[in-house]
Amino acid sequence: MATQVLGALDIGTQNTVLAAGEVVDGQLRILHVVTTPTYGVKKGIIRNIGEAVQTIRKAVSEMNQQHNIELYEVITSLSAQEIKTNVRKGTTSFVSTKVMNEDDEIEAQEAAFSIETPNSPDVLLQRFKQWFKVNNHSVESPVGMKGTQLEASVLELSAPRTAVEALHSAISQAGMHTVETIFSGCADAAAVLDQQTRSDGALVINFGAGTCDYLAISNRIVVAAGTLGIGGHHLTNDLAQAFQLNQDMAERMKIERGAAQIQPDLANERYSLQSTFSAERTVSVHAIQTVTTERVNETLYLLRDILLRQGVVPSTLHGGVWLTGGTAALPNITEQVSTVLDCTCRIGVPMDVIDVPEMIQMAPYRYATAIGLLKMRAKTLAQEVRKPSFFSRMRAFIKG
Amino acid sequence: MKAEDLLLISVGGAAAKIARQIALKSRRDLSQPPMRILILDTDDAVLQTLTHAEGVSATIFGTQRLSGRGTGGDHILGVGAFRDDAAILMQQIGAPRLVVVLTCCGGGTSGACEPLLRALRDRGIANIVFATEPFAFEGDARKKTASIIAPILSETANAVTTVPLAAFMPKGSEQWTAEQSFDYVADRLSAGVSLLWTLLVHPGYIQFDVEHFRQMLEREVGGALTFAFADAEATGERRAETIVETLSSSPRFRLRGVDSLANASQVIVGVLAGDDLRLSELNTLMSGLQKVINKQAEVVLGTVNQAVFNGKMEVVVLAFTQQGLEIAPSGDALQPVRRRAGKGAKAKALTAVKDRFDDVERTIIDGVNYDEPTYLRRKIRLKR
Repeated sequence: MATQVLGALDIGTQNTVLAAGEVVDGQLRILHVVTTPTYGVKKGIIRNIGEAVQTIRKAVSEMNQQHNIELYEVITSLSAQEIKTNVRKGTTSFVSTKVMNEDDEIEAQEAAFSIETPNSPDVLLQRFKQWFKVNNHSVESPVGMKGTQLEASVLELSAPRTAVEALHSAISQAGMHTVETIFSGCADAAAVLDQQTRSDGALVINFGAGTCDYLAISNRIVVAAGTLGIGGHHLTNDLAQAFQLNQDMAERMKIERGAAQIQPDLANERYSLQSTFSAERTVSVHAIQTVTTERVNETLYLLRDILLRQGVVPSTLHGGVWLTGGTAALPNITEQVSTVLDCTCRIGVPMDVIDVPEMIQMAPYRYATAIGLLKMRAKTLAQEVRKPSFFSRMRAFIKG
Repeated sequence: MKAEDLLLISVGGAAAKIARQIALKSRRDLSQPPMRILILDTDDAVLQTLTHAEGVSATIFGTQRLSGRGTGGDHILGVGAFRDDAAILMQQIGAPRLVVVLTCCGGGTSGACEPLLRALRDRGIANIVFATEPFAFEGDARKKTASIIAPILSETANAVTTVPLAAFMPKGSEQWTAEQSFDYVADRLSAGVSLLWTLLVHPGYIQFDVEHFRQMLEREVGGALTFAFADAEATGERRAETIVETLSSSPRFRLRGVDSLANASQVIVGVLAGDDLRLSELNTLMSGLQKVINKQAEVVLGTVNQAVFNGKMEVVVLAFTQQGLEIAPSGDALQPVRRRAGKGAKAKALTAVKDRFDDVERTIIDGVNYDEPTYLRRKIRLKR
């Protein structure tokens, strides 16, 4: 039987990644990955559908022509600073003590769900089950437990309707169908975290060009998630403003000399700026790194405060911080994250995948979202094959 | 702006001579308040030669280090000399609102500009620097010093122009003596600075918004604004046309292969004339200049009318360009850079380079606009 080719589309602010994979003996095999510069997207949201459609078409065309793979449906990711999180609780009471089953579990969760109307400005993106309480005692799973009351907590993630519809519309106009839309932080976590790390607790930060997505997991439960509308483009823009450069020159300066901590061995050097017509001028590397470190520091402290407000103390996540996204390439960023969040930080590398193309191996953090999407899609399909029932559809909907 | 809010500081021996010229020029017009001028040099012999004028004070600095001698072309000595006496010198400078700094980059004393400009910025005193580069015949040593000083000025000043002395020279000046050449340059430079000065302190019929100018200079947008300037004077019926022709073809607007007028983001036109200045002349002047100025540039006009100037018209033009903007090379065959700009582009011309997040929802968290550069919000001074 021919295996189904899975497609994943990650439309980032800077680059768009289209990945194709298949499941071989229960493991995800990456067939090919195509990356192309993104147009029409700012801070994660499509601002110009026409340009976004062209971007997707270019990626699809490259996948088709270079690798002879035609994708008709894709799982895609969304990141936007307007993404909202909401913790909701639902309770099911029973007439008498009973042994709880999966139906009871789902019923309690359904009681927690928000009610979405067709005209609401936000649409539900994902739900994550958090915890259960049987007769007010916390349990990991209520199935098989005896009690008269079951309480469920669910973390809901919603996104602006316009952002989601624009994304679906662009993909549709590019000739593909969207099978699932996932919060990009969740896709990153799926890519880089193993079960042990999920149990230990971990924070995944996707420091992309337009946004900074985060997802905190403790005891395999998503405890916080969200997006800051701050990304690598802010570093670039800060440099552009500081040294009166256009964005391209500032981007090059960031890549060549930016850092998340002042690098003493480079700080005394001068960075040469050359343009076609104006005279050469030089800029202190110390000044460049002051601009970038201040921005990175501020973003990390802001993120720490937001997590603390959501009840997450990063230092208690013993699995540490996992960094993905293009800004993870900034020198010394893991050290700075460790300093600010007081826990270990590593660059996120997609796990449990085979035949990883060389371009992913070179910069795995850039492809974590796309690989995570493929893994999530593979998981959903596997669940549907095992149990094509109401329960499995609910499970696919309630990630955790 | 009151006269006491302005201060002209010359740094180094060559600049001292130009400052003296400016002092003499300003005294020519009796209705003008005396210009406050501070002449700074390490060489006592140079200061002794200067004729004292009202409002002018000359100060020698770095005597501990140099014993009243020159720096011998060593700009590091210039820096050290200023730092030795920084406290006294800054006390002497006081708290003006705008300082015009004059220096000739070929000399070592001009190195003192770096600590001076930093001190001014630290005290919130706006500054604009007129610097010159030496003639080719002055030798490689002065040329090398200038090549070191000029970038430092670009990093520490609010606004700076660095003009090669040769650019001041008119056609047919090849046979002049060195003394004639220096005198002519001093005269042209002092004419331009004096005219700007007059514009700043004298309210005319079309008043120049000095506060806007000062705020523009003070805005911390990274490196210095660069500007080019030229002046022209004429008499007679066709004086406006003559001035337009002179300014449009001025080599000072075509330095280093760059057309400063075609690339300007803001242009200041100062007109000094008598009470006989006609509106039609202003129209001729402005429409003539606007043909060669970048269409996107904000053009600001100021006039000063004094009876003693009847029959005469003097015009100074300062064309400001931001570093990092697209630059069009000079040349008749090439068109000035045309940037697509929407409504309000003119007003933004000098505030900053294009903000990446202009057309997207701002990232505002707890009332803080995180799209603004962090270093600006935190008022971090960059060691450029």
